Amino acid sequence: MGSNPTLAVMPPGSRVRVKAILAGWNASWRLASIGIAPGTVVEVVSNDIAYPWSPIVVRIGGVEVAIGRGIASRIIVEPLNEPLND
Amino acid sequence: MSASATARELGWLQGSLSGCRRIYALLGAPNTGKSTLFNVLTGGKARVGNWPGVTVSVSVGRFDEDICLVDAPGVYGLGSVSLEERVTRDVLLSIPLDAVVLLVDATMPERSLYLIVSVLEALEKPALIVVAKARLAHALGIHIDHEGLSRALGLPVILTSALEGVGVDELREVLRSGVKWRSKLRVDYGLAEEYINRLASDPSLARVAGELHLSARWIAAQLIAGDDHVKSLLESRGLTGIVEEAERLSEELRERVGVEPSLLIAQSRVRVAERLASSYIVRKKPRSAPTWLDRVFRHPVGGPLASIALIFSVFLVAFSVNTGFPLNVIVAHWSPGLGEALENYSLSGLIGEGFEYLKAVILPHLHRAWEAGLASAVLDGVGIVAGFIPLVGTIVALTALVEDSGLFTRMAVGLHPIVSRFGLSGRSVYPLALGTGCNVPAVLSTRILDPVEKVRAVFAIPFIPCSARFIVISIFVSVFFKTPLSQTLAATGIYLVGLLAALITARIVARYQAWRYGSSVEEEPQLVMELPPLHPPSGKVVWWTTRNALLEYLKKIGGPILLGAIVIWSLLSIGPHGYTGDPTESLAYYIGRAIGVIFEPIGAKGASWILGLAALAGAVAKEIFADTIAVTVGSPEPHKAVAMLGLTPAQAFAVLVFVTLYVPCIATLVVMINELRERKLAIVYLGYSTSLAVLLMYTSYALLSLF
Ligand SMILES: Nc1nc2c(ncn2[C@@H]2O[C@H](COP(=O)(O)OP(=O)(O)OP(=O)(O)O)[C@@H](O)[C@H]2O)c(=O)[nH]1
Ligand SMILES: [Mg+2]
Repeated sequence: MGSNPTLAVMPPGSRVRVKAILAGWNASWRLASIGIAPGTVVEVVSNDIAYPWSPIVVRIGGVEVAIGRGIASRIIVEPLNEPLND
Repeated sequence: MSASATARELGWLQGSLSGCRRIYALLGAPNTGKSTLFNVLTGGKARVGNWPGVTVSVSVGRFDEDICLVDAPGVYGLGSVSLEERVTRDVLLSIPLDAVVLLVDATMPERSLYLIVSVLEALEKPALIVVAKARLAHALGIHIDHEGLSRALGLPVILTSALEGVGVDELREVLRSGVKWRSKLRVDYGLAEEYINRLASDPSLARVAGELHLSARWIAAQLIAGDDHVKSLLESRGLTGIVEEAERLSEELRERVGVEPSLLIAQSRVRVAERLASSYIVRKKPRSAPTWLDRVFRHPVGGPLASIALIFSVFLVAFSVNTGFPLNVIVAHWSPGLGEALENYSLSGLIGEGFEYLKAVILPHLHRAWEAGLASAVLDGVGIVAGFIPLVGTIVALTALVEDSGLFTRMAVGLHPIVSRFGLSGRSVYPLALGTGCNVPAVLSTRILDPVEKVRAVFAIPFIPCSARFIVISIFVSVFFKTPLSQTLAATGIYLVGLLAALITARIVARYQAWRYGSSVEEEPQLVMELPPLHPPSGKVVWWTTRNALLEYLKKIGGPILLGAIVIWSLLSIGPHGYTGDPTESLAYYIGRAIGVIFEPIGAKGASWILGLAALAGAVAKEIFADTIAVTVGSPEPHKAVAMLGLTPAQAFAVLVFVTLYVPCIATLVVMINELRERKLAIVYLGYSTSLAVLLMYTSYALLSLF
């Protein structure tokens, strides 16, 4: 599955669909309960790859969520090529 | 694990619900506005804050005498990941609810729907939907088709804006006349459907479900998802067979679809919530561009810096308003007169003068020596506590401002990179920050954390200098350090030592957990945190929070302080030969000397017995430390009393390090034991913190003596 990018590498402004979450039970459940599960579409609001310590901010259904880089790198995503402003 | 801790709380809950004609529970995701609505409806008092997961205990209130409301902790779902989820679930299962009132946060409606789907699916109880913060949402361009939503769910939907009083009367009226509606919502579990149906059709499961007012379908889905809490619930009712069968079915499902069943179940519910959201919610304009504040806090370097700056400014303002410090020392640099005026006319200064005056009036009327002694001991004690009220009040009010505006969540994200090196996530920033006010609510608020991180935070918090310790710090610093610069540096230094001790302790606990429980415990906790939109804080909310915190403060420390002052005075006045006016012939002298040996290595010879006695008394409540010195030396004013100890700056700093770290006060220790449910840990902890305090006291003395 090496060809699949993770949420951690997606640039700001991109829209992605979550394909799989390779985290433990607790983390998966926490993500699901704020609306992130396989199949959900999220939009990356900010992601500064130059600063490995800074979390990634995504938007799901109007809500912004900060996700630590560690956990983001275990969320496998599929980039969507739709235009940004739909 | 939750059973024993919540049993007492549930008993209390049932007791406070006596005589209720109707009982409703307010349920919603964290930060949806439950407590605000609860306050407005009942005139009651629950803490309100713009921080996901603020209510960690349960409040009960009523209106019209017998319409009762329960404000439960905000939860994201009905899983059993966090303590508040378990608490909320216990509340739902164990009180005779007439109906649940489900809240939707209109500013982020999509977020609330997942919980609503879970609850409606799980509970076989009447329900009602309340949309909160409707005005604010309208201003943000968010529109909820409440009639459509009402049709889809089969429940009435009431629009409210509690802070502006919109819809509150209508809601009251509905609650008065009774909620009878039941939802017809059904989640389609796709591939898991046949497994769930097979379990749900079992007659004994259906019977237990009926007793608990839960739907058999939901129980079955939780079993397939591997929910331990539901499993043990069934096992405790003798349904072990079903649990085993569920485990088998769950395994079968996992093999068939190659996906964790828990994810499959969660995903199906997320789908339903998403469908509701896309059908009934319209956002007129795309969310406005992030504000400059958002941009600053989101910056990888700006975020941490801005967070630290914010904390500093809260302290600077709080302390200047109350004690004049550090503004007085800064101003005194240019104009000594103005600096002194600032100190005298600060709130604490004024209250101090008031008590001096009271003593001057009362004491001449008391003729016997012991009467006058006791009266002045009590007045000194009460005076110190009273002088302290404005400080606690301002810190709480300022914190509430930051909290209500939503900035706290930004701070948590900004500081996450720093605290995560010590085994804490950004979520721990909230409890740690609360700790600067008082360690007790700080320890309680660790319930918002995952169980593993929680232990780290509970151990770390007592090292954070609370406002009780601040008073000791401020007195010592202003007495023993001469220049404004050295005073400021010394006070800041103590706070940094406390913070460092806290963080290192968290790190040590994290290491221990990793060693003890293996790699299943992540050393670096992960951050998953929603960011509510920033908004100007509401004066009402800030006032509620401040009022409640002050009442709490008076209740908590008023009694102990008074008692402490009397006990110390008695020990000082009773010697081997009865009443004595000379402290060095009193019982206190002997006790103090025994404990005071630890201060001898730093050369505080003459004062060591007083410090020893103060250390003993300070273990009850840290603010008694300074008070003890005042009572012992017999000087009405703590500054003058402390000055009589005659310490060098290095000695004073070392003593402060010790006072800050040595043991948590009794109240903190009690909540720590409650939260960790392990008495043994308390002993270990006391040993650890005292050794650390002594070690750092000697180290800092040795280092400072070099100058
Ligand atoms: N503008 C506006 N803001 C509101 C209203 N109701 C609540 N808020 C704000 O929403 C935030 C959260 O409110 P709370 O009442 O603490 O939410 P809660 O659901 O009790 O949160 P938890 O206890 O954490 O689960 C606070 O900042 C409130 O000021 C409202 O009617 N209008
Ligand atoms: Mg609340």
